[in-house]
Amino acid sequence: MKCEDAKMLIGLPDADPRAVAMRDHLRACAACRADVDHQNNIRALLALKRYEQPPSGFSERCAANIRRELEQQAATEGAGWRLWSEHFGRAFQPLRLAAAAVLLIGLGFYGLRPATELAAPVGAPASWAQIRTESASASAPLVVATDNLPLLMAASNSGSLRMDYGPGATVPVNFEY
Amino acid sequence: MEAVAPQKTPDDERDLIRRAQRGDLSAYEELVQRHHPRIYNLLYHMTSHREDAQDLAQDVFLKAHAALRRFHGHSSFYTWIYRIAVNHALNFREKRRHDQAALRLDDMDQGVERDPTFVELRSRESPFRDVTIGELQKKLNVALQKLSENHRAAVVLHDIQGLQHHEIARITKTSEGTVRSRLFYARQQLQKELAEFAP
Repeated sequence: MKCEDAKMLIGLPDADPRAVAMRDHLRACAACRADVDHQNNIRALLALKRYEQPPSGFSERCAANIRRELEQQAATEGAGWRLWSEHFGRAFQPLRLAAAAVLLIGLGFYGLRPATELAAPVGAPASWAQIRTESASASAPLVVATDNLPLLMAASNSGSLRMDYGPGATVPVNFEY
Repeated sequence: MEAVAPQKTPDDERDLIRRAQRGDLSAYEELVQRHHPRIYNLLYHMTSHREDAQDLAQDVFLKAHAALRRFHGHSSFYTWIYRIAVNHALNFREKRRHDQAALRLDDMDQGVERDPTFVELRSRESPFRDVTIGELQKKLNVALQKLSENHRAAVVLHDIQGLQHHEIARITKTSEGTVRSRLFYARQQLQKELAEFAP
């Protein structure tokens, strides 16, 4: 083993296989033995610094400070949310109520709509008397229109029980004619 | 102070960590009390400044609390918190690299007077014979502050804190060979600085 290698192995645990080779080298090399002695002297000197300790009771005070700091952080985070709710929440209160009302109306309308529309052919308005039939062939779709109803209505007479009310609106209907 | 570091996280400490991770501040306070003296000692020797060490120790524990959920127990708790402390101290030192005025040299605990090494050194025919504890502390601190950050971290963790090579390697994210090499060169430099006390 070379001196440079041995120096890098100072402090190796005895169980390490390289420790045997290093001890053999130290027995034969006075310069490396001197290096090890110097290193050990410095270690012993530095070990005296282990006596540096925080002042009595300081760790307990520090732990309590840290706990207070963490509690404050938690309270600040909680307070931030409460502050937002109190100020902005109050400012947005009418808007929130309006949004809730619109949502309720929308849901109500959606829930009631099929029943209302299913009832339409049964209770036909007077204007139905003015319905014009433009095509009545068996294969072509039946197209109906009214003079005073703004909706374009189209229905198939090929077995489909659905009626289209303008763009996008499709509801099931019952044709008995 | 007994410098031999515990090898594993004890069971009761694991329980404290679990409770602290769930937000139990009393459990975390207990963890802080257990580890504070060693972390303070480490930071003091990294900075040679008592007030800085106190402030840094508090920062380290607050930082550790913020990161506590990411501690999965793959390493021991003290290794984990040491890593945070060493990184924090290195960052702090980097910011204050040129601020030598920050050095504050304090007295050692009086327990050193009963240490066999100290007694033996005082009995020698050397300048050490007449040195006071305060002077010795000053010499050691000045010599330590002349080391590079990595070299100082290695000697503080090994020769003062009593950690083993593999633990230091994990904390400083280097190999054990690098740790041994840093220790060798750091002590060689210290030996030049402290030749009168450690011939």
